[in-house]
Amino acid sequence: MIIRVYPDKCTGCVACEVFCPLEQERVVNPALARIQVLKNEARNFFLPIVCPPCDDKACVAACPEPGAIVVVPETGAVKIVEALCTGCSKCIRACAIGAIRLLRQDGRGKFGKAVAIKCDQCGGTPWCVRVCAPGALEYVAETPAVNGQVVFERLRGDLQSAENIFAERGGMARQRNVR
Amino acid sequence: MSDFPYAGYAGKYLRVNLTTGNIETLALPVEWAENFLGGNGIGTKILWDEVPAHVDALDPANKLIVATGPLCGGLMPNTSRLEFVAKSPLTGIYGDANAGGHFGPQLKFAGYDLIVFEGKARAPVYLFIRDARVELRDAAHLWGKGGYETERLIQNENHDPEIKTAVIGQAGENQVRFASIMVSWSRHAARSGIGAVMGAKNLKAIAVRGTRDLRLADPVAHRDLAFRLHNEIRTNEFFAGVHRFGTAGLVSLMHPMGRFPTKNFQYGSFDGFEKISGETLRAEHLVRDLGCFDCPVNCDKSYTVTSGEFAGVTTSSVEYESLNSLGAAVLNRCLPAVLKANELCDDWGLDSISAGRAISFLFELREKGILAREECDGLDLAWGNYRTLLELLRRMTWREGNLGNWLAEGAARAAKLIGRGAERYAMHVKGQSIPAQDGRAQQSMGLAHVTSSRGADHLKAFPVIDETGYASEAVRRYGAEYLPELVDPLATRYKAMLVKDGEDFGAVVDSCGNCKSGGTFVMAEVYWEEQATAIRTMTGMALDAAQLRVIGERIYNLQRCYNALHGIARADDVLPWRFTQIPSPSGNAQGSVCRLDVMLPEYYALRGWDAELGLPTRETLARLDLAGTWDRIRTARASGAAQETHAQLGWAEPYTGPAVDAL
Repeated sequence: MIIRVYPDKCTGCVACEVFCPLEQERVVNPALARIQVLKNEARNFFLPIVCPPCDDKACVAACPEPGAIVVVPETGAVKIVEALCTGCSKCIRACAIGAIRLLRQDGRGKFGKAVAIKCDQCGGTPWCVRVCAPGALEYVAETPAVNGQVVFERLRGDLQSAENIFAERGGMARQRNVR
Repeated sequence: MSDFPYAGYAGKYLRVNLTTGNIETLALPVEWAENFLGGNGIGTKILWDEVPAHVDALDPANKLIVATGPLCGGLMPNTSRLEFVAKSPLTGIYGDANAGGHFGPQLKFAGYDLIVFEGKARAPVYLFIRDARVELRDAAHLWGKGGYETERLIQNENHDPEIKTAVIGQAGENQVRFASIMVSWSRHAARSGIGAVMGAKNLKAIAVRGTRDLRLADPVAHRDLAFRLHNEIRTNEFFAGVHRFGTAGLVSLMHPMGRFPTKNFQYGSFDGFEKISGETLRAEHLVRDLGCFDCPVNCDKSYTVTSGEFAGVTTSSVEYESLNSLGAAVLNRCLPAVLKANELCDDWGLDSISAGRAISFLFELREKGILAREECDGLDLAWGNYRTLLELLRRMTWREGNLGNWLAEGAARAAKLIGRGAERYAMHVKGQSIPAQDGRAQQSMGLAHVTSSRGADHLKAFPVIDETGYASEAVRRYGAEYLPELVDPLATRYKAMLVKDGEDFGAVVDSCGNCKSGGTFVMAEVYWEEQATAIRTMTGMALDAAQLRVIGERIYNLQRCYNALHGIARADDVLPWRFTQIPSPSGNAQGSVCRLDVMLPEYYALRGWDAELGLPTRETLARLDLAGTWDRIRTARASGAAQETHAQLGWAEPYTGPAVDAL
């Protein structure tokens, strides 16, 4: 299953960011959301960034810890196993759309210092999709025409063309650290 | 972590003394939360406790309270709302303004429920907040800039496009008495002139970025409730219309009712209404739909003009109110000109309601011959002249010339300055211009304008049930025995009940941080029970619907009490002559006048207010745990201090004498 993104339909309401962290973190905090909506309201620009996931899975290849990033068989979601994650950030650097970010927090990850966070599709019923009223997110089965790689490439392209939109505001909004 | 006993709150607040530059982070008093919830309620409590009646609204001793509520930033549908409370420079009495967007939640995630601004900075400053980091910064480079540019500069210099801002434009700097505050890109806390309070304090902006956790008392129960309500709103019968057109969709609905004020309230229908309707707006100018924080409705839209005289205009939040005040009120049928005017109001920071109303007031003075041609600073004050409209927006913002200075005071104060019978054409209650409703076409709205604690306003009671004949909701909320009168806009029966209940519930909603359009009044899936459950599961506060009703009453009564310190009483609960003496010439309302004489005594009785004075009795205040307030009001009235303050409020009393025109 993949999360498909329709940026043109996004209104920037961030309901996705509001509901998302509750599943894994038990708190409300959009900064911890595994989906991040990049915005520039002056340009009417909104771009939700979330792991579709893609086919290449550069994050999995980059991870030096065996079993710290796994593909969930039931859904195909790419999941970080927190107990094994050292917070080394190699997966974060490997992801071309910035769908993984580092959360530095005591007690988190293998060494109790930090953990990489990303979307795990909430076990098969992603909250972001459930609360997206404008229909900018869709949870669908992969087909040859609509697969994770296609969504990923589209997001990567949108991000590249957004560089100039964010240039004046101190660079790309995409931040690899949560705080 | 905070020691605050309730989840859902940040548990801390900021006190910023602009005179000394001192910033304190303080524990949120538990009794504030328990007795007044947050937002509007706590703001009212602070104003009552800390800003005496003799203080002028533009004096450094006035305080500005910027407050979120317990539901703000949470999962409930649209928890974006942020409340600004201060003594109003426009009315001289209790003032507040409310805005959606994204700032409120961000303040909460930074770790603060509210901010109290005191004093006045020596030179322009802005407050910067990033979690624990809170500092006042020089704003010399921002002073003189519009709202849009100010937000952009603040985001740029802090290298973070996720920073949310609340900023004033040039109107706030120049202390235009109905200046607004732009809250996170084009949403405005506009009524009551709170932007002028910021300007008087030399406070250009507040910028906030928050990344801290918000705990929930019962995350699963709260999420279940919130998600159910999100879905109920998305499947509500009115959802498609409200989502597609936003409040602009009301234009076509209000015109046939005779409830679409036209030509300074001379008419209730506008023969050019299709040209400025929500349908036309969407068909010809839509760029995309926009949403406030966690809102399924997404009623906000971005619009642009691509050709003609106003090509290049880009603006959003073009509401029903602005289409009326910058359109029908001045007989302007040119929609691109309305969009241009809306863009200017947003950027310069003007309340589009009061701005448009002041201009239509001036147009009528010219029509009636009260203003001579040579007094008009070289402008053609003819109905429908949109170039004059745009020029007057500029002159009021910079207080340029005779007209600019009059307009910047708002219609009601300008009427007093001009004299010569001008007060007959200032359509206001307690100094605040009447928005785009007409009490002749909707009786409950006329009463709501009069009893609103911040002067003429629709959003305090927000009686929408009889506006659209929302029978199913009326039955659910009040029971079938009140139909058909309750949903008949021309009937007066049960409207006092509707208005009182709306004011109490509205006070709770404005104190919690959810939205009156997103599920509490319009598409009303959230009422006392749901709101109480939401607060309980979010905060852990033991609170049921009955207790919540008392809190709503307490907040609304305290606002009335604060006004009573300023001499406000029954004599001020009046509508201008046009609404009570001239039968409506328009639409379904034809032949109707607003029957305040019937509804107001009923309202006072329901409220437990003295029928002669129109003020809460000692017993009512004791029942609401506001016992001490009665003594303060009695002392203020007995010593004559209240009456003395009233004499200095600065606006012309609404004209209620014999009818002066046919219309």
